[in-house]
Amino acid sequence: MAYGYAGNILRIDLTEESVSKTPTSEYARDFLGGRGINAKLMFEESKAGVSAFDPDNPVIIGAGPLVGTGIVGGVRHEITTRSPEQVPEGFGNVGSGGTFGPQMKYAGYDHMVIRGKASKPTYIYIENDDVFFKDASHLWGKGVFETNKLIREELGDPEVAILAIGQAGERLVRVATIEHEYRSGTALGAVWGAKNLKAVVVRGTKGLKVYDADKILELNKYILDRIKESLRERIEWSKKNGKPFMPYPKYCLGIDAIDEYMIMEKKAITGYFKGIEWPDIEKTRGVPFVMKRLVRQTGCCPLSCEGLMGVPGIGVAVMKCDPFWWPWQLYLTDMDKAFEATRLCSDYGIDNQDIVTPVSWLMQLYEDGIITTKDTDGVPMEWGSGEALIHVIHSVANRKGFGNALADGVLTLAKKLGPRAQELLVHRRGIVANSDEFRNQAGAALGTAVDPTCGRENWYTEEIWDTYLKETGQESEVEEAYAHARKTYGTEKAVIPWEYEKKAEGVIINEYDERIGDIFGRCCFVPAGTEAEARWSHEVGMPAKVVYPAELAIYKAVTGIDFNESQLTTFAEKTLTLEKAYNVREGFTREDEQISEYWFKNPIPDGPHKGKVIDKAKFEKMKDEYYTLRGWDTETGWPIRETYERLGLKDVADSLQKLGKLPKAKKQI
Amino acid sequence: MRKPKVILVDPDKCTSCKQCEKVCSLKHGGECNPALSRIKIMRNEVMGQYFVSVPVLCQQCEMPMCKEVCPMEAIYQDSETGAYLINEERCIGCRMCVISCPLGAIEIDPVKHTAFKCDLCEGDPECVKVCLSGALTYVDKDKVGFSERREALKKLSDRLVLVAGTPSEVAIEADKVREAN
Repeated sequence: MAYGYAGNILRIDLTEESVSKTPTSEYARDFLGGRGINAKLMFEESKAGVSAFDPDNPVIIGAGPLVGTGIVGGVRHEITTRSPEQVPEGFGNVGSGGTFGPQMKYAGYDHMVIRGKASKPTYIYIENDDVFFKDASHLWGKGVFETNKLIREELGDPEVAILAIGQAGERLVRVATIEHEYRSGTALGAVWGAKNLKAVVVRGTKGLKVYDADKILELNKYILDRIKESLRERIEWSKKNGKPFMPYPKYCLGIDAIDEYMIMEKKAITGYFKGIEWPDIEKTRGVPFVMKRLVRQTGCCPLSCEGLMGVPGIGVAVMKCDPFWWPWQLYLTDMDKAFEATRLCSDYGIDNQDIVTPVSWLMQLYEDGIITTKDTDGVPMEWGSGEALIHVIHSVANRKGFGNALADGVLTLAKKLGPRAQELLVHRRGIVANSDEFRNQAGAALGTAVDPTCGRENWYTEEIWDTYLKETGQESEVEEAYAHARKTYGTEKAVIPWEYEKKAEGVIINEYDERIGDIFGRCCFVPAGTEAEARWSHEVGMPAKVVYPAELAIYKAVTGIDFNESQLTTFAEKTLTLEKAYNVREGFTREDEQISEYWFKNPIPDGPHKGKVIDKAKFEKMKDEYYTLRGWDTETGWPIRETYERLGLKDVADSLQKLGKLPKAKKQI
Repeated sequence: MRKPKVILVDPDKCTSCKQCEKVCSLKHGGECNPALSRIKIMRNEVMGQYFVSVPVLCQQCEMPMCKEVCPMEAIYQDSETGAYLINEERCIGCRMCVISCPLGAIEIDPVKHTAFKCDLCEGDPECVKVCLSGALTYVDKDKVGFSERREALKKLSDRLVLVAGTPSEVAIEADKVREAN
């Protein structure tokens, strides 16, 4: 097999306890790897209408061509399956860094497809060429921490890489996650629970051939120099502005950036979508907490963007941006409690945002008198109550008490609580919002609406926050961004968050960026381009824009294969179109690509952006523009035959035509 | 000989990212294969909740046991860097050096059947270049005083106990973490 690839796709059938292998090369030329091949396999290996909990729903794990090759940041795996969290269920994808992706490739596999259902609790152990189906009865009912510990003890090898679910996944809690080395993401864990699959463990000790090892080392130097440079800039910036420089995470623009820009740009949501004006907001800042509680820096690449933190009486845990996103949503000022909740979620294997926003909603309902303690197991849902939050986490993960309904999705609970509760619920396809404000961010609203994976957050990197930049003496960045916008889009409005013009173009660039990173398997937090190339697209420290020439140079060094930027974006477009095609096959239409009605009806209540709200007519117009640029029908939102064929996806178009899921006539603006 | 230098290890700063293993193998074998890396990150998980790691690599001993025990006299000191190197022509893969190394920093290549160890990359070690956390530093041997080495050794041995990871020691680490806060 070619350089950079491990060479095989491993197919595992849990029902039959059988395995088979096919070469990756069948797919690599057309879909490149990682999330690209994942999307192709997902479309191909699943049938229309098969529910997330059906044994026939495949789980696909992929590691892109740059993973495990020694390039800095090439450490990510991608998991694709049907999402049990979305209502209706749709395409689900989640990626994570760690040692799973690299070890999977050292074991000889670029992708795994797991199907069927084990007859009893099982975990899969892959040791190079050998695949073992191991009994997991003794692990069933155990949390993620305990599971990790027991598996390592049992296998006698501390170096194995583990993907595992906690009790939440076992109990088919729809917001359960798959955890890997204290990282998780989108809720897909219940799919494993339905398969009786507790964990997938891999140990790979073979090597990966690369095309040009010296070039990789040279590119690494370039990337690391950039990281060091940005560290120096941040030290200077803190000195200039009299801000404390947070020693951790030394090389990642993380927690301090959230603190600074969410609060300074008045972009956060406090309470239940109340706006920014909350006198205690300073108490929920992450930096002081980290300064006090950090034990050591840790992570999966030299950037090491995570920290091991410890709180007396609670315990230790590895944390990244959580729990620093959300305490203001609950008016929670006790950061130790927020830490405890986050740690508990990691152990149960549950997405904490999917608990926090519903709790915020319940607290609002409680305040409004719509619910009483009778509805919540006698626990008062009072603002700022960490106890209430912890109670809900236990209750959902164990399906005990009122959390049993929430475990089936926030819509199920809303139905139970009545029409007034349903009316107040802010969600999209059953997925709740996070603490990021949309109403002054048209591009992010569009990006979130059209995302096939129904992602909660869409970092719309083309928009800049000039208040923040100006306040912090970075006027030159504002000018640079405007100049970029004039050159690229013909108008400055393209980078002004609350404007609607040219946003579809920006969303498309963003979608490409996300997918290119995920196809290659390189982390978007580890910038590869020059400082100037990526500078204006930093949303004050949010992930850098993918700089195509740099990524292409890396791909060339690893695989020896040369291609150009437009070919690269075609791979990204193909991936997105396959993800979309999956949803089209499931019956999704334009109506499903929506944001919550709440954002159209309720203006921002306070702060410098007071009164801003998403204009529905303008929003729908942006969608028209987006569909047209994508080559999709504006009426149904479905890709047209020509679009599939241009991308070499004729077979997809044919299969959708049979189901009547191709638009009849091309209707575009 | 140039001024001899050594790679000093501070395990407290190791973030368990394993980037050094990857680049070491790229540099020496032209392929990415941590199993053939000359530096090994010994990683252990504590209570299923976090990793402790120790970078293990040749410390270029003053009195190298590996050299002493080699029946073929295949181990020699590089005149430029002061690193102890292996003459692959002479090595017969008898593993005497592997057994004698107190750190476990020398191994046998399963394909070539010869010993391999850290060669300091001709005085420009790749692992140090990618170690942003500062767990690995390349320093003049004479500047590393007794106290620095002692400190590094103490941390190393403390951490090695943790990597061994018996329950009581794990509990001690947990207590330490709590105390630290």
